[in-house]
Amino acid sequence: MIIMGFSTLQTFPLIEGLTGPQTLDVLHKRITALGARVSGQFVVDCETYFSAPSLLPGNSQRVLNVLHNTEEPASVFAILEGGAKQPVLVADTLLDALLPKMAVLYTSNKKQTRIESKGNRYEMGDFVVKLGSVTMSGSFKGILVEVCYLACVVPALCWEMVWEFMQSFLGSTVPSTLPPYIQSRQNATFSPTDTIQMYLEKFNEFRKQTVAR
Amino acid sequence: MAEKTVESLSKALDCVQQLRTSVCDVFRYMTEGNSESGDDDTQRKQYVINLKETLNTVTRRLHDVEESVNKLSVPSGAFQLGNTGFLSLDPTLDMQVLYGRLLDSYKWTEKVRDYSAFAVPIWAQNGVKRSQQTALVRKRRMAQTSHCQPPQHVDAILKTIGGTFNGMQLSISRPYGTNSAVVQVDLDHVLKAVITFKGLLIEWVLIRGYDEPMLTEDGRVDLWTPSDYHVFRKVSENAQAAMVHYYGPLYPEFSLRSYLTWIYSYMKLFSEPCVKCGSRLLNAMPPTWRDLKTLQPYHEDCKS
Repeated sequence: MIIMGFSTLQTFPLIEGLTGPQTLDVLHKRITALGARVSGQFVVDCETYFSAPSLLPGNSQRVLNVLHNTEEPASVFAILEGGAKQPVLVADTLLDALLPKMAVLYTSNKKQTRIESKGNRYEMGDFVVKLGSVTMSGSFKGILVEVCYLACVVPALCWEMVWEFMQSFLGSTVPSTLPPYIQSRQNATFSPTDTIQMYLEKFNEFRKQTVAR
Repeated sequence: MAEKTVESLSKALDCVQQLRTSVCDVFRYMTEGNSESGDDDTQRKQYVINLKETLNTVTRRLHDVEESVNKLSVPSGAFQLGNTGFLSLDPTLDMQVLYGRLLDSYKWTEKVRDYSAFAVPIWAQNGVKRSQQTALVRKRRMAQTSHCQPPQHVDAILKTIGGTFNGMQLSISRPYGTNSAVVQVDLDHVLKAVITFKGLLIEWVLIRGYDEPMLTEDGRVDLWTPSDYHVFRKVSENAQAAMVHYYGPLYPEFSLRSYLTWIYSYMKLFSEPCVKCGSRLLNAMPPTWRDLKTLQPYHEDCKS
């Protein structure tokens, strides 16, 4: 598996009096003023499938999340929720073609459940920053900021430095502790599946939000 | 004898000085003249008497001078400068100047000779020169061996030194013959280095990220491909500069230990702040330089 540095993900609250695109514009100006340059676009999307009642005994339901990340264009990530463990499957893009054929087992309402984070990708030295606007079923939900430090693969070794970098353009909204997901595995080698798991966590948080701004 | 001559000479000179003073007194007295303007005979007479007295002093002094000159012994002979003495007798004007110059230069060389005679014993006491010479001889003898050591010896030294650093692993391979060892260094989860040795001398070093491959496609250790990451390219540059700094064919084990200690100081590359500016990041780079003596972290722009 390819190891691609250490990533951290956080939501950025809308600046008071500004809309989502305007807040993103402010962040864009801040980060380009620091010396970062735009290096294309990125998308992380998630589709959710629900298991058919006949699949599991006792009417329990499992949720299958299928995620794509433009950083790993040849891979599809599938995460099964609802059990004691959350197994992550990393597959080729053929999985996308396979899932419609499994409609008997896992069904999805694509229009309602599709959520994605999309926006500019920036590079500055060994740092990669992704400013994504999160939309669910076409409506704006919030802003997700992903900061990746490519040269280091162990979160505990470089968190303070990444935190210093994030503070330079996100200000006081950056928490001084590692994100909860990473805290338990801060001395382990970071991998792209960890990034995807963090995206899924954040997407689930957005889904729970009743009021979209 | 010489002292006596010098004494009588100085006495004679004193007498001449006194004579000059008394002559000066006479002239001064005369220039002042009789200050009283009246025609008083007594005053005029007094003036003449005083003048006579000063003149008498002059005569006495002159007598003294003559006496002291007579006391002086005639030098035994003129300076014996060989046939050059005849130059002074040359009636041509041009040639007469030459002789004076010749004497001057003679005196000057005499002085040089005296001073150098004094300097020789002082310099002879200083032993620095001798010790430097012996050090040079020792250097040459020892330098011959450090680049061609038996492989077992190199392995043993690398193993001993490598074992003293906690978290740093060395793996030795010899893809280019027995005399050149290629050592892969894994520094915790921070970086990887590949160091090429000739005997015990470090010839080349390259730093890469922890997640970057160290082997080429055909399975050999990759000595040349630089890292994809800015930070490790910069650390590589610095490591090559430090390699030159720690180069010591006289004491190869010591220089190797110092160099590995220096590399080991990168253990906290991503977490230690720069000692000068106090922050971890400058131009999106961590402190990539380690001081060669204190091993303290500095940013590239903070180190000077």
